Amino acid sequence: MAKYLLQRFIYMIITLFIVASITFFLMKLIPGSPFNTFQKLSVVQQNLLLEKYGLKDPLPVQYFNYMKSLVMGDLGVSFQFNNTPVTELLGNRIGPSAILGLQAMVLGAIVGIFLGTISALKQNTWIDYGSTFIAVIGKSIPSFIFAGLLQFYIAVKLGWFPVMLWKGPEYTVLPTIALAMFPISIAARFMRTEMIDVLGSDYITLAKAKGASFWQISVKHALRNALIPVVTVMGPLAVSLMTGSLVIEKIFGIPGIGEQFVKSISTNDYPVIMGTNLLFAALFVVIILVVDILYGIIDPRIRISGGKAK
Amino acid sequence: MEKVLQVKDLNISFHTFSGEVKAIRGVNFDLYKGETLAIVGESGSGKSVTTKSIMRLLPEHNSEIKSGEILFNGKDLTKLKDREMQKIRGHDISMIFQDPMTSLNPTMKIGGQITEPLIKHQNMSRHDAKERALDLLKLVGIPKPEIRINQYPHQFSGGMRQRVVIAIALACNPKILIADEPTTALDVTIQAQILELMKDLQKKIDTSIIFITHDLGVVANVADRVAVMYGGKIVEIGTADEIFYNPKHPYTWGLISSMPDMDTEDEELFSIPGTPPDLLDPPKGDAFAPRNPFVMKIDLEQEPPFFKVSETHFAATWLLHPDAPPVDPPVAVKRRQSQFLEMSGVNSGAVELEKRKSQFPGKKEGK
Repeated sequence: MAKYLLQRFIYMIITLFIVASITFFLMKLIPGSPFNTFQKLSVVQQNLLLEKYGLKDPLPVQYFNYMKSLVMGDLGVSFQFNNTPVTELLGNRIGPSAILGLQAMVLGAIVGIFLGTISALKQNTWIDYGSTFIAVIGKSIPSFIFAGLLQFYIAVKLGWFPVMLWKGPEYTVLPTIALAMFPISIAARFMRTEMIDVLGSDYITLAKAKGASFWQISVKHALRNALIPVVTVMGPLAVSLMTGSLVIEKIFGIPGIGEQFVKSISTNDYPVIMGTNLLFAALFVVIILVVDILYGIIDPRIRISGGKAK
Repeated sequence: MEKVLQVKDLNISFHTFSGEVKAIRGVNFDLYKGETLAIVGESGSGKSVTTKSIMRLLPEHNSEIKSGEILFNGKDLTKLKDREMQKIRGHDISMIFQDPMTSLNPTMKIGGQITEPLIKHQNMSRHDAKERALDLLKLVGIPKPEIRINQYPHQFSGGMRQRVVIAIALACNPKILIADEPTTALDVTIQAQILELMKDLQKKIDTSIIFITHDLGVVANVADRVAVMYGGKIVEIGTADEIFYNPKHPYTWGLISSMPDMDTEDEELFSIPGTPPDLLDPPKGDAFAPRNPFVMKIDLEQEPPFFKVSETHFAATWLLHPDAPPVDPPVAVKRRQSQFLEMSGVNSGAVELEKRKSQFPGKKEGK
């Protein structure tokens, strides 16, 4: 296992290096300069700033310099946010997005798996149609509509939760629900399909032939086998949720990373673009590792046995 | 002999988009204590449906038992509540399936899968159940059961998995064991081992076996009695010797002719021409009539009743009617019949038909 993890770690570093390189050159293709948006700066001042940040050097030199400081753990400073170090900027912003994303993910997985399971068990009944309806709604209606509806009915009319802002756990409830609709529908759909598939398999018939009851069959035999593909889709989805949703963050006034990312691109804030992208990529490879480890826990057939081939 | 199971006039239909498929159309048979009854027939003849209905394992949403009774211990299994049925499944009646590669739960340890019915039906503690599971694994010939019990199905070969499935089926010493083509998915040497194992275990725990197969070689090896199914009905039933050496139904003749043996001189292997009947719209007369080289007009109009050949041997074909013209069975069958006569020491023609003229509704019609 340790050997496997070390191997995976090396692959992760290589992946991140490639992501950093590609992002760097793609980013430089964006037209414009970080400083020409400030109307107050004269061309001379702009040139001085470009000179200072090394943006006048040839591209390979810039790339080499960036990679050098990246290896030393220096992500540079933001051009837009008063020379704040990028690490500090990301550190402040990723928190709310990650909390929100994780909550939405956990809620989505639990509710989605539950809905998918019962609709497979009660196939073609009103329970099935009901949960399929929820899944279709969650997938086809964008999250900002749910956000607006939740704000109006739950927060304004009923007053159960605050409308917006980010001041404590109760502030996370509505944005979490709005964000969770998508993972709920994805998990429910996958779970239903998988569960129906598993329920039709020979080992379920054998379990029935052993005299197992309906619930023993569904919980002990079917659920675990049906979870494998669901874990596969939910992993990458978790990353996209944790890295922030611009729209939800805007609507609920949450100081998350989504908004900042978009702003950094529109203002050519190169260090922030790089930093955010690398953070997302790092989250992604870590989540994929977690998913692979989860596979092993759920399915003994893909368990890693000390790096030895079976 | 004591009857452990009686199937009486069973009719089962499946509701599909294209209509009602009458998969089982009036099946009757008894299963005696300690015997092995083989059910043979081609795909779609209703072998599996019959046995799955005994276990009530047919899909609930589209299958329907139209009529009939399945009597076990004085109870009609077709009318039991789910909870009562669960007590019988795996305890009194258990089942072995065709494909050992898919019939074990891939994410559950072998031990857990064997102990499940023990804990459920015999209220054993986990520890006792594990001890019993170890004994069972030894019984079915799995080496190093202490290690194997903590392994997962993917760590077992096909033959070993089928042994595990047999161990699960036998866990509670069932009175009836239904084996649904248990050797079809295995290679021939493993097949022989599994068959030996089943025969061996049957003696040890004195269970009755219903053995479904379409491999007549397997039937000859294991069966005491044989039921031949065609188009959702049993067309001939008798002891293994009677079916193999003195078959009466032209479908059984076809089956036997298409089984090569040491004496076969033909260049080409015989096969029964035509296709099985469409059970969406079953034919009016004998379902086998369109493929029957000895077809008579009556076959197309009226279903044949069972004619008694001996105390244990019945066949549903108009050819057995006293008014039917004599026919010339295929060479392979004649050869076997003469062997049968030598074995039983009776003269040709001594196998008498019980004449049931009253059941014969029409006039005699030639071919």
